[in-house]
Amino acid sequence: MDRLIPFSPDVYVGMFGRYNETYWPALLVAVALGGVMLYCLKRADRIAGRVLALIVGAFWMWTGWAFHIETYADLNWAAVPFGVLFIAQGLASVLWGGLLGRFEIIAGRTRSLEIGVVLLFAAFTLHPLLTFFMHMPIETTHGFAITPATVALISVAVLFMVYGRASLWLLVWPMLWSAWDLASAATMGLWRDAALPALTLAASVFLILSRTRR
Amino acid sequence: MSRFHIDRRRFMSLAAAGAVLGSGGLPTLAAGPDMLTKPIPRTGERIPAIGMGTWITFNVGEDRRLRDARTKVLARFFVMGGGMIDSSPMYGSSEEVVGYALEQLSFPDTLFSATKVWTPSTLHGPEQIESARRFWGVQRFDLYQVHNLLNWEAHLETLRAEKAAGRIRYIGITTSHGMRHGGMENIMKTQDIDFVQLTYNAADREAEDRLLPLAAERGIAVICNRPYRRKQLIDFVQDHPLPAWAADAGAANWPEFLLKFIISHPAVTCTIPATSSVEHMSENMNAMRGPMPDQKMRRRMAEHVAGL
Repeated sequence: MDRLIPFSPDVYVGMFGRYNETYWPALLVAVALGGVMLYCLKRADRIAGRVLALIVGAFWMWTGWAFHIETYADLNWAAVPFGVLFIAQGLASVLWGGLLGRFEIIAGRTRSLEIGVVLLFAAFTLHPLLTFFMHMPIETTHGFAITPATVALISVAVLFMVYGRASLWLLVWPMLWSAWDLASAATMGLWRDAALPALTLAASVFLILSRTRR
Repeated sequence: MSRFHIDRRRFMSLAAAGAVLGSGGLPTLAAGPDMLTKPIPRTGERIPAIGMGTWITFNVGEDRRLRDARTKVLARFFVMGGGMIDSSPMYGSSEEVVGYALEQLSFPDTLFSATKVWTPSTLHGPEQIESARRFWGVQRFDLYQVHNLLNWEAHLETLRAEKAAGRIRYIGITTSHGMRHGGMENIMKTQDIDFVQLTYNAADREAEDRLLPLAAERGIAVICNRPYRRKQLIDFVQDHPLPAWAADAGAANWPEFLLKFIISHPAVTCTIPATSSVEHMSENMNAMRGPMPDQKMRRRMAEHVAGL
C-alpha cells in the first residue's frame, strides 16, 4: 500500500491547509448549500428531490476538479483519474436525480431520514471536531462538501433520505473511494482522516442491507 | 575505489548558499572531505558512492516552506560531496522540487542528474523527458532510466536516440522491491545499457545471486535503491545496540552500518538513501568516509542483521 502513496503524512495534511486557503470562501458556499439541502428535506416534493441531486452532483464535480485535479495532482499522479471519476459521479447524480427526477425525498419523519440528517451533520462536524481534539491545525480540516471524504459521506446521507433501492448504484464509487481513503489514512497513521471514510463505508453497508432485506 | 576531494572554491560557494538559506550548522571541512567514489564501468568516470533518492521526501508540492527545507537538505548533500540525485515522474512534484532546490543552490557542478521515464505510452516518453528538463532546469541529464521496465523496448529506443544526440550521457533500467528480476536479467544480457537500479540492502540480498555478478560481468553500473527499505529497516535495527565490532567496518551508527554494507559490494556503484532531514543527510553521507568492510566483514554484517 505504501508504494501507492508517494508523499509523507505531514505533506498530505499540509495540502488541505493550502487547498482551504486557496479556495476560500468555497467552504461558506458549500455550507450554505448544505442549508438548502435541509430546506429541500422540509419541502420533500419533486423539485426538492431534483435540487438535492443537483447540489450533491455539484459537490462531486467541484471536488473532482478543484481538489483532485488542481491540488492533489501536484503530489499524486493518481489524482487525475480520481478527479475524472469524481466528476463522473457528479454527472451521474445530476442525470439520475436532477434530470430524471429519481430522487424522491422520504416524506415524514422516518428512521432512514433521521440517519441521513445525522450523517449530513457528521460530514459537517466530525472532522473539525477530531482536528480540534487531536490538537491538529484547524486550517487542515476536511471542509464540508469540498473535500472527498465529506462529499462521499454526504452522498450516502442523501441516499438515506430518498425512497427505494433503485438509486443504490450511486453508492459504488463512494464506497470504493472510501475504502481507498481509509486504507491510505491507515497506512499513513492519520487516524483523524480515517473516521469519515470508515463511517461512510459502515453507513453504506447498513443502507444496502436495510434496503435489500425482504 | 578512490578518494575524492571537494575543491575549496566549490565548498565555500556551497557553504555560502547554505548559509543564505539559514541552515546554520553546515559541516566544516573537518567533517571529512575524503570519500569513497566508484567507477561507472563503461567510462571509468567516478561518482560518489552515496547519492540521494527523492521518493516521498521531495514530493512537497507548492509548499514554499517545505521546498526551502528540502533545499537545505540538498545543500548539506552537496557540501558533503554528494553527486547523484535520482527522481522520477512517478514521485509527484519531486522533480520540480529538486529543480527549485538546484536553482537556489546555483546548480552545483558535482550534480549527477538521474531520472526516469515512466509511462505505458511510447509517444508520451519524449514529452515526459522534455518536461523533466524543464522541471530540473537542466539541458542534459547524466542518467535516464526506464522506470520499473515499463514499456522498456520503446523507451530504450527513445533514450538511445537522446544519448546519440548528446542530451543524455548514460541510460539504464530500474526495478524495486525485488520485483521483475527475471526481466531485468534478460535486458542486462541482451541490451546495451550503462546502469541498472535495483533493491539491495542488508535484508534484501536476492540481487547477490544473479544480478550483481551479471552487472560486474557485463560492465554495468549498479544503483541500489531502498537501502533502508524505506524506513522499516532502520526503525527495526535501531531497537538493537550497534555491535562493538561495527567499528572495525568503520560504522559509528546504524545508518553507516547499513550503507557501508551496500557500497562495499564490489559490483555496487552507489546507493540512494532518501531523507528530508539535514541531520540524517549528514549521517548518510558520512557512510562514504572511513574504513569499508571487506568480504568477511560483509558476511558478518549480513548475518548479524538476519539474526536480529
